[in-house]
Amino acid sequence: MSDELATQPTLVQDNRPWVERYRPKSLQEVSHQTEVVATLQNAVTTGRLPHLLLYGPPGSGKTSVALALCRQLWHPSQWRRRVLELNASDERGISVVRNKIKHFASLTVAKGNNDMENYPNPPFKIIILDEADTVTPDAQAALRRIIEAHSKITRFILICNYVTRVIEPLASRCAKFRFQSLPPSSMKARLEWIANEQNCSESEKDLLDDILEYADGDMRQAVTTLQSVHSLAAGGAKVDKAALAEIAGLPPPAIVDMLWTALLSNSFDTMEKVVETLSAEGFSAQLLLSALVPKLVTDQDLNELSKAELAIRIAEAEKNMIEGGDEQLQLLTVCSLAVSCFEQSKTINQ
Amino acid sequence: MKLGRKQLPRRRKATGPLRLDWPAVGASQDLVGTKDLVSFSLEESAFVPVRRKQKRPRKNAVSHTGGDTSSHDNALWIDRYNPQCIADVCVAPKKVQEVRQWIQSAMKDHVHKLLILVGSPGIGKSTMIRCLAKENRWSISEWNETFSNQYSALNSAMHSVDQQSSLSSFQEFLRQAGTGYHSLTFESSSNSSTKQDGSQISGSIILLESLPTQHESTQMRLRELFTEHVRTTSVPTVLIFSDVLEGKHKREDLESLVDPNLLYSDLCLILQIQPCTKQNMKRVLSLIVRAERLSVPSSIYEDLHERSNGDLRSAITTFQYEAMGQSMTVKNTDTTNRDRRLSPFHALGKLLYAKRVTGAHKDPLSWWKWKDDRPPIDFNPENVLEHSGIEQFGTLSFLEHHSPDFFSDISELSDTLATFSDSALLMDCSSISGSQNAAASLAGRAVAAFNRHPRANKFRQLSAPKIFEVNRNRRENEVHLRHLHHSLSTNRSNELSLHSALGATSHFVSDSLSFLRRIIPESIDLSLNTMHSRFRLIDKSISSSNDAKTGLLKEQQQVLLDDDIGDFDSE
Amino acid sequence: MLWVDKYRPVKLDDLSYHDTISQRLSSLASNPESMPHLFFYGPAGAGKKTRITALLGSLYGPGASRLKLDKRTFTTPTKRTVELNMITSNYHIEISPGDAGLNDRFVIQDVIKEMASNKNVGASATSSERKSGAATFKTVVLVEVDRLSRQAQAALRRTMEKYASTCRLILVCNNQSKVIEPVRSRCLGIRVAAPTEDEICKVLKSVSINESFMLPDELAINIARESSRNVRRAILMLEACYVQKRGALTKDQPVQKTDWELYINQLAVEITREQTPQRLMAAREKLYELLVNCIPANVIIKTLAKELMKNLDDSLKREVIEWAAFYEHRISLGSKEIFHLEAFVAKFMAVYKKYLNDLFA
Repeated sequence: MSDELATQPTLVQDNRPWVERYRPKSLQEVSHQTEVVATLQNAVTTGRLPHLLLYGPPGSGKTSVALALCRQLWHPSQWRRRVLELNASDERGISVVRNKIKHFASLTVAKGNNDMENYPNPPFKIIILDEADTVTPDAQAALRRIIEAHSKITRFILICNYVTRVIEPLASRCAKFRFQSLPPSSMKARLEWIANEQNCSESEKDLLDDILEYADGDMRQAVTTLQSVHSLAAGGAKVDKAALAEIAGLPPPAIVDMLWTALLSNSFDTMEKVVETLSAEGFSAQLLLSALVPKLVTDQDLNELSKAELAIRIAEAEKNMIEGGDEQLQLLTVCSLAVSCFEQSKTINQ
Repeated sequence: MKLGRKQLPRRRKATGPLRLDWPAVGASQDLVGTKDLVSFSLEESAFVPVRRKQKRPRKNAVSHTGGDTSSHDNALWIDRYNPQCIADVCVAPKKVQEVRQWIQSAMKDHVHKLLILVGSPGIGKSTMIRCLAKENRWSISEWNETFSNQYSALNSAMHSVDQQSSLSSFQEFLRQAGTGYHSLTFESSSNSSTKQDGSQISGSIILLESLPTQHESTQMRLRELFTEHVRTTSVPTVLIFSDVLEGKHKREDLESLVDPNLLYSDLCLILQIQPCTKQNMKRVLSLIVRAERLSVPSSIYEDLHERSNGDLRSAITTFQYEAMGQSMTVKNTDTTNRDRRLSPFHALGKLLYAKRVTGAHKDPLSWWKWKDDRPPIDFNPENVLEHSGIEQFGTLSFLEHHSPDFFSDISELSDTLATFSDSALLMDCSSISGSQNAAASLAGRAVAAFNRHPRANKFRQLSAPKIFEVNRNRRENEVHLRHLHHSLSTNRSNELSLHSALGATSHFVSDSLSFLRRIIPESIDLSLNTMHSRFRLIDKSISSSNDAKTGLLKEQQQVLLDDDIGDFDSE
Repeated sequence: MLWVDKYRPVKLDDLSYHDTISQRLSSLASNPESMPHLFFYGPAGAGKKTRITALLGSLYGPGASRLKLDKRTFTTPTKRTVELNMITSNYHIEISPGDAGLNDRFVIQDVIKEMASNKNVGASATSSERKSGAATFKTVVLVEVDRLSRQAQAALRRTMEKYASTCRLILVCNNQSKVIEPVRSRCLGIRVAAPTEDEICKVLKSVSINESFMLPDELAINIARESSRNVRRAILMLEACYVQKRGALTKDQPVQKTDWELYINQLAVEITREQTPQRLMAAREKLYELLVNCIPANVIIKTLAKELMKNLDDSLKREVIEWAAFYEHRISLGSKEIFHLEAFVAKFMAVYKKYLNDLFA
């Protein structure tokens, strides 16, 4: 790796965010992904490892698994030399694939020393390509050849959120592992452990369930939130459930309810005012929309057709926002449709 | 100049570089008017795709027919009547004098180093240099890629020419020629030197007619080479630049070739060479006529001039071809139509007026096949666009700019503008292959498709779209505003906090500027006044419609003078 | 110096509204080692920057407010050079990476790497200047993160984690949706809501007291309403009023909007009055004028849509908002904004005309 800082635990180690500090050191520590872990554990003991493609939602432990695997394969003094980790922050155009990766892949490895007998010390190297879905397609195509040519001495671990963004020929060369988003139950144990390590107060621990709810299966999010709560509480700020939503960056339930009642108001102007207020308050339209979805879907008054229409609209609006569309305008379009849908359903019911 | 449907057939005098006229034959039987002609023009275009680039293949073809059908010897007229002295060259004497003086002074003072001659191909730029060299006994070192790469050029269809090697041989050439010791250095096989026989050489110049094949990757390198060369050499260098559209070059094109720092310095002179005038061409052609003992109608000169756009080389070549093929009896200009481009205004006018087939002379039985109760359009938009030679964004802007004037119904106009918006969006997706053509086609068909209630026929004044001016002014203003923004936050009186030195200027403009004008007018107004004299939001009295009209007229005249239509700076 | 800057609070304790945020920030500052990356979001003129400056002040002491403007040149791997302004103190650096355009990724990498490698902040500062318990890390403030390209944001993900021990990031943006989720989830989000009109009134009052002039309540309320909950704008408006009347403010004094907003109002009136192709040509001139004056196209369309929607039927409003959102999205997608703007105006005319025709038919 290019930088010493990140690779070596430095003196100011304590400064690292909790997500980094409490990254699982071994496969056993990884929460929930039992199937994957079992398979890989087997690979560790036998020293036989295929190319891997790990995919799944953010914060489900993909990178952690890959790193933990490497740690278990080699002695701490060895593994950094055996592993090349590349992520989206590194230059990963086709030239890098051609030069850096190819170069590393073609290096031969020395036979492991005997004094490292606690480790399987397999005779190959590992290249971890994190966020592989951001690698350009032509660079991915170039990777194909490299993977084949050097498979004797180099294993690849590709990590991505969306398996569809990895080109098929590349994906087919790897053993695919899908990571599920974590259920709260398995996250909780880990969070509790971290909370204990950090001497969190009881009131903070009481918030764990809420933290898990907001994190929605994203371990990284949960740990970050916990750290935020801890550092806020340490300075004397009060953190309660309502504040938690904000720390997690989500719209508090009260706000969502406010929007919901506006939608039922039958008045475009009322709705417009509320939307304007919400944007002024700085709430993300994207998150508001996703908070609206379960409410809309389960609503009793709306007919199925309207629900479908609204769902499509919400999807469109979200896409447009991601592409740079204005939040307020997009939110307004969805809400104005919702208002008229509710109005319709009301007249029909009467 | 006016452009109206009824006026099209009338022949007008060609004045100025932009010719909007369209000879009688053109309007009644244009490229896309009838089926036969379509197929004909398509065949032709498949054979010689782009007119400007086709010189060489055509020459060969011509020499073939010439050899087969006539007893004349095979030499091309273009070679046989190559000007031998400077007086025969069809470049304005003033320009010749300018060039002569420049080279002479460059040889003495070594301060002037690079002369760039800009102008359409075939108007005698290189010939002028050669004749001047002959007259003054200068030796010329010429870079000639086709010469050095004869073999690879032949194979280039299969293998790409090795860019690097051609570049390095170019470098070598510059290095050797740059020293000025002509007698020693021209042994290299990649260069050809024209030594003036016998007489003493009084100086040497470098003539660059073509440059190594350009490619994204080599362009930077080429630029560096060039800069380096100009810095070190003592030999005046003449660069011929004929990559022009409608007689105008794009600044960016030139800048990509030569470092702007160099380009606009004293070391360098850019000289625009105008196309051959009608008189000059007539003079040259009549010389040929006399020498070849031909008899031709006198209209041929004007016709050839028009068709060649002032490209003398092409005119002579065409002349020879026609003289041989048709034994010089009648000049039937109809068949030569294929070689004429649609003038931009005419092409765009076609799209805007969107004339439909008048039912009568078409198959009377086919009316029921018409979609939406309308006869089909009278032309093929894609072909018109292709022959107009304007790039897509220019077309779109032009159509968009003028379309409101052709509509009477706002909702039809709205549909059209929505289509233009689609087209604009598509143009931005340059990564999708074919999107550009699809976008142009969408734009070209929009007016025809939606305008069911066109406004009464009348002559419209077609001017260049304002978008370019708007964008240009906007960019300039943005620079001004950014400067203002920064200076306010960094000057000593600190009108704004330092933090505003970061970030987008647009926030500053939309959020603070208009208040600042009231709070600290003395620091703001001064710099706004220097700003393109366009910042007049407060006292924006929209000029009355009358003013706007006369303004439009004036603008149009200006456009015709400047020939701005070719100067689209696409985004 | 403008009032906006003159009366900008510099300490966390001085911040005039959003007490919970101030409290949170001061608790973060009191325990800097555990401070995560921060992500400030909220509308323009809500006071994000002010809060960050105050936070930096309490993290590093007075040294953080000794700022200077630097011009740095970055060289990308493709040998292009990018020049960028940045504001620096001994402890932090503030840049707007969006200014680097396509090369934003490299600029961010460079800056963060460099900041992270100079880790002896604490040691370098003299003890007198150093606050006890001050942070040992440096801070990089990235403003206008929403202008960053996707690639740059993706690159930020790991960089944030890798250099976290020596370098904290503070991200600032208006539009939360334009920042990718993985980046957001790595930060402690701090939502800075726009102040309410009452809060703005209070701010205005305090300015007037400090400048010792009389501010009538009605005027303050008027300004607060016209400012659309933007403090910076409100204070600028106040100062403009003050300059205009040379200090003698009256309660019924008109509060001037920005010139371009007035201009758009005018445009909106014109296109509701008549819907013909000729009118469109006239409207176009106005659009050109706005664009030439560097008003961003999406601001134009949004403001115009709002203006147009006043006094419309609900059903029509819905249609207008649909089209406004549609074309605004297109503007943000491409570079040829004029076409989308005009298409919107034409669409409105068509829709409105149809509505009128149905009404009278």
